[in-house]
Order: sequence, then structure tokens, then C-alpha cells
Amino acid sequence: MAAEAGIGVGLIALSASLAFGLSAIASAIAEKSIGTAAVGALAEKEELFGKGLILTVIPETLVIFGLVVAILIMGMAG
Amino acid sequence: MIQPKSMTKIRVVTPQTKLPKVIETLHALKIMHLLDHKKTQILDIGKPLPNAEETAALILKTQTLCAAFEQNKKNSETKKNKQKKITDFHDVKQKIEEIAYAWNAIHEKKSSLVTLIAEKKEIVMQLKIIAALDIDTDAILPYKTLATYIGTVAAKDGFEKEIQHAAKESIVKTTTEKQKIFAAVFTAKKHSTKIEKILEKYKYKQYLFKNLSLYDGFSEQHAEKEELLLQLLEKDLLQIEAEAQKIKLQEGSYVHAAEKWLQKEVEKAEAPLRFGETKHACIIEGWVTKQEYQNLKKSLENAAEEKIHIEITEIRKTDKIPIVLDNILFVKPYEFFLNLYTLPNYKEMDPSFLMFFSFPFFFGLMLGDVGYGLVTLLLFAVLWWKMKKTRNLLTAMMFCAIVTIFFGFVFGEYFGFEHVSEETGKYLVEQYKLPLHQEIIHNGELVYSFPRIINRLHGEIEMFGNTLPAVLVIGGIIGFIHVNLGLFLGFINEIVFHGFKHAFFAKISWYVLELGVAVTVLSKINLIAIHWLYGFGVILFAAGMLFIGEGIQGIVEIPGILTNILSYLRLGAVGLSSVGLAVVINENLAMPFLEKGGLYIIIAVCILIVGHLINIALGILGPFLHSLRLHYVEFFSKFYKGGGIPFVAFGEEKESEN
Repeated sequence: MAAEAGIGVGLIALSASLAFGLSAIASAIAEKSIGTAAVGALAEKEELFGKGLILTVIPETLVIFGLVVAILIMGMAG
Repeated sequence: MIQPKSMTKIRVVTPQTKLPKVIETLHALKIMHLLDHKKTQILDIGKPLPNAEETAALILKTQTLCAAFEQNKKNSETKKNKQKKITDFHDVKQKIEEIAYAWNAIHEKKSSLVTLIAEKKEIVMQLKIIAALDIDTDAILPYKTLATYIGTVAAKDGFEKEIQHAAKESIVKTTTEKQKIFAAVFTAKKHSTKIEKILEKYKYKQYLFKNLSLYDGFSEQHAEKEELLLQLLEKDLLQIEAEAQKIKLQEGSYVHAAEKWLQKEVEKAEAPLRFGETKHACIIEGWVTKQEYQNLKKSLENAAEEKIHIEITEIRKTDKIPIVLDNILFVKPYEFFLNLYTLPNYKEMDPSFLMFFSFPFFFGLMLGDVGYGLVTLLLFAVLWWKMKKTRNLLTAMMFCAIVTIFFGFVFGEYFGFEHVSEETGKYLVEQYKLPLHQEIIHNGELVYSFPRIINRLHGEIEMFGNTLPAVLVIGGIIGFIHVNLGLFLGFINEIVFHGFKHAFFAKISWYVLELGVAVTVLSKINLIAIHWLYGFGVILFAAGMLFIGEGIQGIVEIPGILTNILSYLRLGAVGLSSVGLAVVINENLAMPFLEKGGLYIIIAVCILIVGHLINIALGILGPFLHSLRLHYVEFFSKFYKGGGIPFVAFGEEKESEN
């Protein structure tokens, strides 16, 4: 497929990967600071595990959106 | 099952004389959650039972022993079953004191021996040095006219010559012992400044000798004698250590058991600190489940020989009612997830049974592979058998593994293999009559695929002009259902807490909003013949309702519901990544080696094993967290309030003591 694909298809593939990758980086950055704080809170009070976990994974939705967008972009390539 | 167990608040009034028996009974029953009495002007806080102080003192002693015996905990634990039950305080006291006495005696002997041995060792070494320097033990004593220097120097070469050169009549002796150069210099006091300069140059350090006057002459023989003595002492030490070990082994289990028992005794003895007290009576308040109330009443009346008053008191609005979840056998493991998050409050629905259905469903949908399901099932079964403390979680996970196997069949995936090659497929169909079907895959190859209902990796659905992976669409649909179920439960909860009107505006408005969005979108893509402005009008109406129901916060949360539903796409996405990795391991990493044949097959097998182990590890962690998160964040936020305090029965063993 790659050999006969034009530059258009290449750009589409590139943008799809950017959509996915950048959103993954974004959620990683968000989770980093939340996770640090959550672990800090856990050290003080262990019962907060459930709440800490939830707060930590909240930005994960960003990747899902990235994935959906990536799939929609891929659809453009046909 | 849907709600926590009904609780009764009770008050027990008992004469002081009957108090120890009442406490004993309560502690043994383990069904009452005690409330701490707060000191008032009329009712003071009770005093601990008379034996409290003595017990606390003994516990300190026992804990010291426990700490000393710590290394042997494992050995002593195996013996635990043979121990007799501890029942009498005086027996315990006597035995613990005996053990402590014996232990201290041995410990003292040991430490004095250790010091003695260290001392002897030093003396032996010093005697050896003296012997090697070929001087007498007297030589180290101070002289009137002679300056004596004995110690270490940095180098031997040239040292002697330099000294001789400075003061001819000096005597210099050097030797090497334990990689250090020892030197002895004797010179007339008048030369001492010159000599000291040279010594400084050679980095001389004075060596401090002990009083060796006892070992006059023949240092070498003295050293040998002392060495013999040293050996005897070391033997003694070994013997004492063996004795200590013996005590540890013999008494370790008893000491640990005694410590546990004493902890309980202290808990009982100090229980009155949680009660109210008058001069002659004691008032105990607390919670008990409705079904256990009669049992408690009867037992207490027996214990106090009817000299007791037990009454049910009114539950006030401000009371924090402890929660006992009430679920049947299979749902019970899922209470673990509520304990992790927050317990429901008393009036609220207990969502464990909902998690019993949806948690394994989500997990299975994400992992969905027959091979992985079997491996995880086996893993959890083994862990279940080995780790008694986490059985709840592991039982829950075993259900998840079973659902994984089910979805594996639905997707037709076996360790990431969806199909086999043409030859293998033909052979399997003809020999074993396996229901495989022929298929041409994306690279034009003809393969035999496993039977399946949905193709997870390549199944696609056309939607509004876009081609979407089927699993993502399924995830979205499940999300829609799950979130709306949450809203419905929230509606019921709100009726209980705030009445119908508030419930209607706060929760039904979301349904109206969804309707509005649906109408707008459908008319925009020309699927229904209504102008999209009608749909938009419905959305505005819903927003108004929300504002009445939940205030400005509700308006802010409007985009949230879309996010929540879209979040369920992860049900498909996590699965896709899991199966994607498995396919890469199989087809891109292992296959090239397999095709080469010969020794390369071993490499291929190693790649398969390591690769799939990693994927299974990720496959347990990912779906577990994502499934949990979907419940906690997306589902629970629609109805669950939580904040219940756990029911801790008086006398129940704390987890750390298990």
C-alpha cells in the first residue's frame, strides 16, 4: 500500500498519528501532576486510594478522544 | 441485598459490678458497633477495669520479646496449631516472666562473652606484634632516659637508615603485621626531637598497648596460650547462641499468641473509656443489626443475670449510621470495590450487585481472548488458593476471567490468533471437524478463521458516512446505556433524599437533553424530517430544567455527559490495543522465525511466551483499571453519594492482626 500511496495519504496517516500521539502526551502530562499529588495524599491517608485512583485516571479520556479523532481521520484515507 | 442492613441503635445500662461480664460477652459476640461516649456534666467517661494497668505493663514486656523473636516468626507460626489456648491472665504473666528471665540471662551472658572475646582478640594481636618486633612486653613501659616510639609507619624503606643516621645508638625494629608496618624505635631522650621529625615524615601513628604486664617474656608463647583460650570462649558463645535459638523456637509461637491475647485483654479492659459512667452504673451505646438485636439482648441478660437494661433508642438525623453491606455469596466479592471507593450511606442503594454484572462484563469485553482468559483464570485460582487475605478481590477477578473466555469465543481470538494458515486449517477441518471457515484477509491471503460473531480487529460499521471499528461503536452504545442507567438510579436516589420534584428536574432533564441532541443531530444529517431548531429548542428547555434542578453547576456539566458516554469507547479501544499487540507478537515477531524452521523455532517459542506474558500482564492491569474507572467516574457520579462509615464490631480482629 505504501508504495503507490500518494503524499495525500501520507499526510492523512501523519495527522492521524499526531492526533493520537499528542493527546497521549497531553494526558500523560496531566496525569503526572495528579498522580504525584495522589500518591502524596495516599501517604497521609490510605483510605483515599479509590479517590486518588479516580482523579489520576480522569485525563485518560483525552487519549480516547485522540483515538476517535485519529480513526475519523483515517476514514478520510478510505 | 439492594440496601445496607437495617440497623438498631441501642443503649445498655448495667451495674458496675456486672460490667466485666458484659464486656466479655460483647467482645465474644462481635456484633455491636460501640459509640464513644462524650463527657457531659452528668455523665462522666468510665474508668478502665482494674487489671488494665497490669495488662498494659505485661504487653510491653511481651512486645519486647516479640521484637527479639521476630526473625523466627515463620518457624513459630508453623507450630501455632499445637499451642494450647490461652485463657488465664496469671498463667500468661507467669510464663512470660519466666521466658523473659531466661531470655535476659542468656542475653547478658552473650553480651559479656562478646566483650571478653573482643578484648582477648586485641591482646593476642598486640602480643603477636611485640613478638614480631622481637622486644619484650616491658619495652612498652615508659623509661626515664629512653624515649620509646612504637606504632605504625607508612614505609619501611630507608626508615631504619634515616633513624640510625640521626642518632647512632638508637635501636630500630620493624615488622609487617596485617598489612601494616609496625616500627619500634628506642632512643636517648636527648635525640627525641630529631627522631620525632623523621617519624613525622614517615607518618608515624602511635599504637596504644593495653596493660600487658601479665605477659612477661616469651610473648609468642603467651599469644598461643591466649589464642587457645579464645577458641574456648568462641565455642562458649556458639553454645549460648544455640541456646537462644532454642528458646526462640520453643517459645516464639507462645509469645506471639500471648501478645495477641493480651491485646484483646487490653481492649476489653479499656472498653469502659468508651462508656458513660455514674457512681454505680455504666451506660453503653452503640449499633447492632436488626436481626442480631434479639441475640445480643438475650446473651447480655444471661451474662448479667437479668440485672441489665437494654433499650432501643431513636435514630436522630445527625447520627452517622455504620454500614453493613448485605449481599449474597456471588456479589459479596464486589463489595471490595465499594470499600476501596466509599461505602454507601445508610439510605442509599448498595451498587455491589450492579458491579457484579457490569464489572466482569467490561473487563471481559476489553480483554476478550480465550487463551488469555484461561491463563488469567488459572493465575487467579492459584493466587486465591495461596493468598487468603485477598480472596475477595481474586474471586471477583475469577468471574472477570470467565467472562473474558466468553468474549474470546465471541471475537474468535485465541492468544491473539484469529485464523490459521490454509494448510493447517484444511488439516484441522478434515481431521478434527473444527468449525473453521475460509476467508481472504487484507493482504489477499486465503486463511481459515476461527468461528466468531464479531471481528474485533477488522470489523467495521458504516455510520453517518464514516467507517468506524465495530468495537468502538459497541463501546459507545454500552456507554449510552450504562450512563442512562446511572441517571435513572440517580433519579430514584434523589426521590428518596429530596423528593420527586427535585429528582425530576435534576435527573430527568438529562434525558430531555439527550433527546434534544438526538433530534438536532438526526435532522442535521437529514435522517428525520424535523427542522434542527426544534431539537435545539429541546436542548435549551433541558438546560432550563437543569438550572432549576442543579443550579449553575448543572449547566456547566452539560458537555460532561457527552464526555462520559464517549469515555466508554475505551471498552473497544483498550481491547483493540490488546489484540493489536498480540497480533504483532504472533505475526510480526514470532512468525518470521517459525518459518525459518530448525533451531529458530526455539527462539520463536521464547518470543511467544515472553510477548504474551507481557501482554497478559498489561491485559490484567489495563482492563481492571479502566473498568473500575468507568464505574467510579462515569457511572457512580450519576447517582452514588457514599460517605458511609464502616461497621466495626467490638472484639473484631483488626486487619493488621490477622
